[in-house]
Amino acid sequence: MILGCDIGTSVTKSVLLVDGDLKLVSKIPTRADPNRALQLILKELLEKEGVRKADLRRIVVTGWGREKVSFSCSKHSTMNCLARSAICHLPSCRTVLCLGAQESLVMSVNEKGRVLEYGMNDKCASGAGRFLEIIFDALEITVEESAEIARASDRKLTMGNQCAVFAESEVVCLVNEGESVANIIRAIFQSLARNVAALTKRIRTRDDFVISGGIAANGLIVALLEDILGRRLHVFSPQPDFMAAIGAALIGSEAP
Amino acid sequence: MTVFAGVDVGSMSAEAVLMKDDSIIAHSTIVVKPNPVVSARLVIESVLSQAGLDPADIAFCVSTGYGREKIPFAHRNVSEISCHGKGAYWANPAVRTIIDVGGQDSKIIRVDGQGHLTDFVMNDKCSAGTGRFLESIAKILGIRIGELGDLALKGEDPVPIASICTVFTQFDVMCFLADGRTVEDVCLGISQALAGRIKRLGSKVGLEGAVCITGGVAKNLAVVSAIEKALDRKVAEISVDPQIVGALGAALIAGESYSGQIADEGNV
Repeated sequence: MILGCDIGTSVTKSVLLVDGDLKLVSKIPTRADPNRALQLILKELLEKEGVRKADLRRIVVTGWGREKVSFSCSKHSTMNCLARSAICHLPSCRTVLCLGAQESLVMSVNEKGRVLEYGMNDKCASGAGRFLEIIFDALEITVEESAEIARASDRKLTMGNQCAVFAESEVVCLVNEGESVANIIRAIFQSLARNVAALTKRIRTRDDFVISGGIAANGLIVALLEDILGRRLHVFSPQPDFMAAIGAALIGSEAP
Repeated sequence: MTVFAGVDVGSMSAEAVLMKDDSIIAHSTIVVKPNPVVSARLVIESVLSQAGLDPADIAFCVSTGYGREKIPFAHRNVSEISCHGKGAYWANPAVRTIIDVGGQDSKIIRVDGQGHLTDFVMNDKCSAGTGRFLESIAKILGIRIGELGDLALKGEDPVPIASICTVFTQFDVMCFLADGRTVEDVCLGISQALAGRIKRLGSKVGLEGAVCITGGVAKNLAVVSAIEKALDRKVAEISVDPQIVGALGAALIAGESYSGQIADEGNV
């Protein structure tokens, strides 16, 4: 049994690999404390699955928080885990997009799952998941309902601000002026999709594309991005935000 | 009696200045309301009542700031860049460079030996390096923005802020707190991060002559000291509250506009 954990800046995802079968264990908020998150996962593993730490052949961690983990475990880079996972999901995958809470990443991979080139935005929140969270909080809606609400949009708006902090104020102004929430969210999605599309231009990209990360669960954003890029995007399944955790478990199972 | 008024409605605060015979007779600052017109009315009422005057006593009023075009009682509106240049030069004629850290933007303004605007650079695209940056961090720390400076002055070992983005810095701050770093050290690190952004902005236009800081952030001693360190120079003092410099410049321009108007009428 191998435990794969992706300690993200916002959410920690964990999967269990039992004799080649994957099981999604949990998704918990990281709360800026990777060690605490990992302990909670082990506790949950024991309570829900009856698995003790000693039963695990290996714990593999990846994601932002991996360097802060003081447990003994193997650590792998997020990019390697994502690439490994993408090839396993879709062997013809040559471009991986990962839209996380605090960074967006695009990378090209070869048939063995090796990273050839990558482009990353971890400098500005305007293309990241935190941007959406801030706007959804301001509009008092949930991530889950956002795509559905935005589908009712009847007018194309353009956001004037790229900065997440300023866009939040702009959204509040738009609401006060009587603009519909549907139109505002659609404009926000469009703005995010444009930023992600710009990121993909930094490297040479090839079909097929696999998209992952929390944002990839939003069907409308994926559709808007497909429109801008003029390409089909394969959403990582079973859940797009588990891609790195699954990759970590897969890498862990291959090591001697 | 000829009284001139300047009103500066910003994104976080609004200020009004009344001037007579080239002296400030009253000034006032308020926290803005969502509607800039309401903020402008409130701040002008406040400054008039301080001076014991009526709206009719104002010979000419100039508005500035982001809501400047909407102020119904202003005779003219002028960009905040011109107003800050004008106001700072009046408050200290040695000043050639003005750093204005506003609620929603930051600017560096250059003026010549006559106080005329010669160049400027502005960041209004990214909240890093603006008052909103400090406000967003204060929120995470659960303190008021006014407390940030005092806490930073007690900091000993500033946390290193690697991110530029305000949103990501909020997250970094949460991590520092989780790691057991003190609020004081975080505040000091934040002050230095803001100073770093100002330094970068300054490198685009160059800093010459005496440099002063205007806007509410100029009252934050920790930020001022961090800017002095980052720029490797002393910041010049100005003779007025740094927060009212925009409104002061507007009042000065009101005086000039009024004189111009009288001269024009004389020519007819």
